Amino acid sequence: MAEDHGKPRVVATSRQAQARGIAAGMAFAEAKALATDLVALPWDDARVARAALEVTTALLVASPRVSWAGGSLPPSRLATWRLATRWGGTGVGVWWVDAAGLGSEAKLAGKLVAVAGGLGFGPVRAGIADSAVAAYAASFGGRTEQRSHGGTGTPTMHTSAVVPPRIVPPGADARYLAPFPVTLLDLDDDLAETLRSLGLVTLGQLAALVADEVEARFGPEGLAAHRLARGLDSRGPTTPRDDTLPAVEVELGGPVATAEPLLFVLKGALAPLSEALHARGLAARELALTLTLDDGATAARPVRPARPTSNPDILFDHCRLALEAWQLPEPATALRLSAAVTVPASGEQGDLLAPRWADPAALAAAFERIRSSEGADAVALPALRDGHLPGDGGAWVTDADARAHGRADAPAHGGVETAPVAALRILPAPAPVRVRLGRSGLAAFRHQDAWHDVVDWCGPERLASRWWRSDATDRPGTPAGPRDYYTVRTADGGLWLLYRGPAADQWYLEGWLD
Amino acid sequence: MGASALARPAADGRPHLELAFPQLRRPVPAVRRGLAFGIPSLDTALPQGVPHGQITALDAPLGSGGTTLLLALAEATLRADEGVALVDAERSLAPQAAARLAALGPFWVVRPRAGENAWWCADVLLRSGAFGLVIVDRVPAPARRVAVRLQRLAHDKDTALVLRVAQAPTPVAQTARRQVASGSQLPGYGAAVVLAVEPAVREPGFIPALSGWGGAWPEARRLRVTTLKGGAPRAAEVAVGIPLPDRLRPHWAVRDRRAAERADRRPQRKARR
Repeated sequence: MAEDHGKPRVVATSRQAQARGIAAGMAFAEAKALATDLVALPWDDARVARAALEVTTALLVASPRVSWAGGSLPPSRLATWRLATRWGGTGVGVWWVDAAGLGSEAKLAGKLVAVAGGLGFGPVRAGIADSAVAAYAASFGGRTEQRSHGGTGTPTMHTSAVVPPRIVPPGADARYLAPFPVTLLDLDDDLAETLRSLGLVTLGQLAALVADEVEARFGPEGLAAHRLARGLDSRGPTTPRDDTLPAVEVELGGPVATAEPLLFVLKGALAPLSEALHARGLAARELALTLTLDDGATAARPVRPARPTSNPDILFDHCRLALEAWQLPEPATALRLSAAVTVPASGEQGDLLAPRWADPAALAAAFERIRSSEGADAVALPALRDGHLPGDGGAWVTDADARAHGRADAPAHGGVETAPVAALRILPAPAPVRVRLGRSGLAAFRHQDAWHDVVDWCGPERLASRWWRSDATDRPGTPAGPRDYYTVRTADGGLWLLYRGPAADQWYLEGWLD
Repeated sequence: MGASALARPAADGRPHLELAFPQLRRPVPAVRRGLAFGIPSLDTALPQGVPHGQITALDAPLGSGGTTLLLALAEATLRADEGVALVDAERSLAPQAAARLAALGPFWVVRPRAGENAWWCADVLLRSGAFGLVIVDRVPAPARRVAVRLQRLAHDKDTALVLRVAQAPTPVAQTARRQVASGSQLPGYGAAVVLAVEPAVREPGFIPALSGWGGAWPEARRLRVTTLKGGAPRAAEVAVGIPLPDRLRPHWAVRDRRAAERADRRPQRKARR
């Protein structure tokens, strides 16, 4: 039993209750009408966790990597529970099982269904796909296709009701998900309602949107939903924690309050750790940096490189960033560095015939070095944005996935076959400039200690700054209020973008065409 | 037929192998063309293109159209399946100007915190060996040892390195630029090719409205690109479009008479009453 909007509802049932027509999602009063001797038990997390552990242990017979998704539908996940109800589910838990490299996927699925079904917790469904979300969808039904081996990604199996397992072909997750309703995703109620009101009913419709626009409109939640709709899901079975992973402990010999000595020790500690990882053929996905403080307490911080690596230089750069941003309440007396999560080290074969093959590891290492020195936003991709101000037409994104959502169909040179299009350059902050007015309007402006004679100009075009936002001035030092934009040509042929602020004598240089 | 028979001269004195494969007689070293701009007039003026493994210097003052040419070069390189990294030392490139390139292939923009750090960023990017073209845009002039270091790296990695040194648009800089254009003083950072860019003519009349994305006024501007080093001195004119505004306007010359502007005059009217 669980409360849903203040009303008690059935979340899970025993086999005896099912035999008498009681199903998950049913109002308690309705269930009571079917069975007057019905015994209602409140949701018990501890009991669910014990049962989940039992199922996980049993599934390990078939695959070495099994994770409980935690989807046993406690009261906080009623949205999923309602979904499960809609799809004929019974609100049982969800497990991710690694199906990669274990031979026939159909046989594996059959084995898992048999094992899970034999535990007596209820009906079991299974689906196999590259991503967790597609496997979850496949477990509900749809097409059953033969999956050929050799596909990309790690096949993930989802077991959850005794229905023949559905197998999504490799690389076809997005296509398979397209006809499924958006309600398949565990969305926030507000977001789900917004999508429904916009007519975005299926995952295919959601996936067809441009990611940047989805993010701009619906925020991170919308972007996460968009990724899932496209079959991009980072969830999946995880490797059990290995306490035998390499670790290095160093006593500092006294309280250390500054970062420099710690960095010196850290560099020395990373070398044996890196060697140990390399010797075992492992790459660190996450390091645990633990400091013992002067008062005996410990402070820990995870360090995650962009790509799993055992390169000590890259790991040092990340550890250094973590240390520099760490405000310690007490001086440190000892340092412990351990590999918290590892993956098998892998290489990638280059293409002999490619004009230039970039080793992803070398590229990632180069970018990591630049980011660690110049800031997290130092390496970026340009992306288009919607905005009415000249500076709002684009943004720098640091997520490499943004490349996939770029407008690949954008014509070369902006639609003109032979002529490139002038590039806009915008100052980080509009620079105040002095302007000399003549009989015909703008006569000259002064920028960087030089007067530029204006030979022609166009404007004004009045644009409001972002009056609806608290940071309406968008850049420090610039006044809020409407702006009159002018495009001017100077005697040397340059095209400049000026605007006049709310006060008549306030002029700013926003950028230029170069 | 054994090796000795092949080596034995035929009746006319030439070996059999040479008779069988006439193309072996005069092995002509393959001429490897550099990167193209994708602009016909400019590619004609620079027939060998932007060379791999060398530094190419672009002498383009502020607002002269240098960024446009660099982005055109980047686009043509991406279309040739080579990676491109652009170091925007001034952090002033508007992302919308380069957004289309991100969808074409491995294109990355590096925006260092300070202009001088651009040289270190270029060093790291060159060392990765992942890029066919590394552009360092609007950067302070490098010291000689920096230029030598980068030139060697570019040579080792067979990467085309294009530098555009920032020049303040002061009369002093303009004078120096004229000297460069006349050939009396060339940039001393080991560039194999030096190109000078300047607006070609003072176009009368046309002034674009606020720029946006989605199209361009064709040939709204003409740039003159001159080869100062790296081949015979040649000049090419490049037509550059100006992005169309996103918003519809009746005509670029029509004054804006929207409510916002009228609202400013209301207090004055009240004062008159």
